[in-house]
Amino acid sequence: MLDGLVITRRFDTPTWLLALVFLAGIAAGLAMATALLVAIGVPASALFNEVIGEAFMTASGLAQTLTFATPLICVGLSAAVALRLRFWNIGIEGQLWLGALGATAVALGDVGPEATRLPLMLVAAALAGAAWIALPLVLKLRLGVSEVISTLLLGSIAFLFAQHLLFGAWRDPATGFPISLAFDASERLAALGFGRTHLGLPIALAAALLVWFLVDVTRLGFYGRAVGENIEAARAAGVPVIAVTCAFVLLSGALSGLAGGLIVAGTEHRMSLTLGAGYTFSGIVIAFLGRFRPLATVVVAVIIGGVFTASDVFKVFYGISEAVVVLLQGLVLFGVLVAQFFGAYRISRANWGASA
Amino acid sequence: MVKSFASGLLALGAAATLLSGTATSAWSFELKGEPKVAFIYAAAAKDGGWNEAIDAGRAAVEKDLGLTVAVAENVPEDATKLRAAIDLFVKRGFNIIVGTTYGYSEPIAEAAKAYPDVAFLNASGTTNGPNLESFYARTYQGWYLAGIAAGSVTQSKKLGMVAGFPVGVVNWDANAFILGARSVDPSIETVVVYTNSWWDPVKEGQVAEAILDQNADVLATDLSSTSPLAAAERRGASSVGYQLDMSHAAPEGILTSVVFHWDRYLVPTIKSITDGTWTPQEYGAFEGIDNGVIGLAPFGKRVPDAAKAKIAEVQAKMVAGAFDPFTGPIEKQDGSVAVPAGEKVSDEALWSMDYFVKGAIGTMPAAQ
Repeated sequence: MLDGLVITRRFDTPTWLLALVFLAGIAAGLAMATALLVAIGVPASALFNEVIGEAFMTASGLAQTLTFATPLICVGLSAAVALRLRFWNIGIEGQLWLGALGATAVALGDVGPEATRLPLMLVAAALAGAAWIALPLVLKLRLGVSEVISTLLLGSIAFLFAQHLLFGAWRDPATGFPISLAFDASERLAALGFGRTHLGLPIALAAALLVWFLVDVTRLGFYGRAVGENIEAARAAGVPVIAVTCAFVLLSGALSGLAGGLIVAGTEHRMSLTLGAGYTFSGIVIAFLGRFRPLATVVVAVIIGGVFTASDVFKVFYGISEAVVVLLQGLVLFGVLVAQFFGAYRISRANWGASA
Repeated sequence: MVKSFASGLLALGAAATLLSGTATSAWSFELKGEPKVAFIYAAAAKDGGWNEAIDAGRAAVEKDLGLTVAVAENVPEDATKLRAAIDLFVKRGFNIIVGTTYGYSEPIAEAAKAYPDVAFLNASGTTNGPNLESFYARTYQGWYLAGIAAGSVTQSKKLGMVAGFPVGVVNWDANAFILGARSVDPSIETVVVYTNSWWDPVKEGQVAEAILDQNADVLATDLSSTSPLAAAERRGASSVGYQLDMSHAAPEGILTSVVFHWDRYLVPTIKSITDGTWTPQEYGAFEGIDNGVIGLAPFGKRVPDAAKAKIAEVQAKMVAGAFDPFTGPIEKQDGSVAVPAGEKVSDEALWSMDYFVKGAIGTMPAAQ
């Protein structure tokens, strides 16, 4: 049957078709996700109440969603910025661990006066994240080492480094458990008075605005698009490819590091060995669903935050495991990616003349 | 910065003296409305080890108190995730919430402040309050007895132990096991290896093989999976399980398992909460072999009668408070003095135990 079809690449896809394909992909993903949830025992009638209702319509649920969304915005931006250059940052978690460690080091070391402690923690987080991606960046630029491998492996090294500190210098001296001492009040981001949302939310939003300005308004952003589209053409046209790549990739690392800083300073108030799990995957999903656009990334991050909130309901009241959240994100991403195929290619019936 | 369980235990001594010997806390708690109980686990409830032992306690709570208990599994040890689960339970009227890991300590303390009408319990937690009690058990008592069993059967005079992380509650297990074995024969040595994980059956099995390769003929696990026991069984070695009776994994070689009977703590405690007589202990509940929270599973066929008799005798002394495994003189691995003769390791020093006793083969990762 398939040999009756011809697939042709579209040279330009109309905007309405792109939008339609994107929405259809999300719808297909959601339909698969719904089928999955029903199949594992969530009553279909509860789905609307629990997902939309709990995650977005109740004050406490919405606050929870926004709290989850705060670091997700940062990791989504991080993935988006790197992917604009087709640089695959698979080490988001590693940079996030380093960011959390950087912020914790400032907090536990009581660096600087109390008034500047929090800003310093977040700056340290961003710098540590950027430093952690600098090595894969140099390896890529100088030796052509695939960043997929180097960022991924450095993520594991970052986790081992966190383990090293939490089982060594930073462990709770009284119990020996691998959790750092709690931060002082001056080292915690202020609550916004809405659930557990904290100052990290406006900071993440500001980061999104800044990234939007950089990549959509400035010349640097224009260069970035050129490098992402065709690096050789960009180089031939005189774009400073190396400088642009460094700027985007370091920004990506800094955003992941900032996410780690916001997690320890905003919600955990201490360093632990569980706080970074799962952010690489979420970041990439958010970046793809947001089409690598900074402001769309914010919207998608809030929606994924809602999925996290809803998943807590599933977990607490229906005994459904955390892994389902990953599956749900994966299904929606899958739907969108498959749908994009139909945006990029035209499928028509073959006309083989007599043989048909 | 953070008031800890251990320093609290030390202060308990002082407080008790001030209160002229009474250890009752000033905290009391009254439950409003019908009891609705929820247990929150950091991993699967049926993990074959730590969580499953607590889950057996949960089943006893359901049966003995006629309550239906809700269960949430795989709630990570992050403040955000745990608080989300607690908020959901409280919003739907749950008023007795039981956590199951030290990683919940701080967020559960914050939740306890936010919901003063909800009773909180937390296994191996480090925080307490007017409506929060952390609980753990003196597992080292069981491990000392298991050490006697192991010391009585070893031919190679070499034992092995697979352990999780080098934290106080693990180190005291290893040290008590070593001390128990050496009370039988002071020439016995024990290889202790940390996996740096609480749950990694493959790695635990590989570590067990490596220890057996060093000529150990009794292998103990301080973790939750049975793969070290399976490895020992394949090699004909004897083994000691933990958390639950693990004899099903090594029917030939099992000597015993150091087991939790959390029902002995959970049932009376939750009953006192529903009765309105609960007074959370200011420094947490630290249960021992005297009230049966810690014990040994039935002995395997390799344990000689003489060893059984000796274990029964030592156990009776422990229950009576006449014997504690960590009573000096105890030497550290390098021969320096850990505990001077006649002194007993304080509860605070137990929680921060960061050394091996003499007879251990292995490296304690540097603490600081």
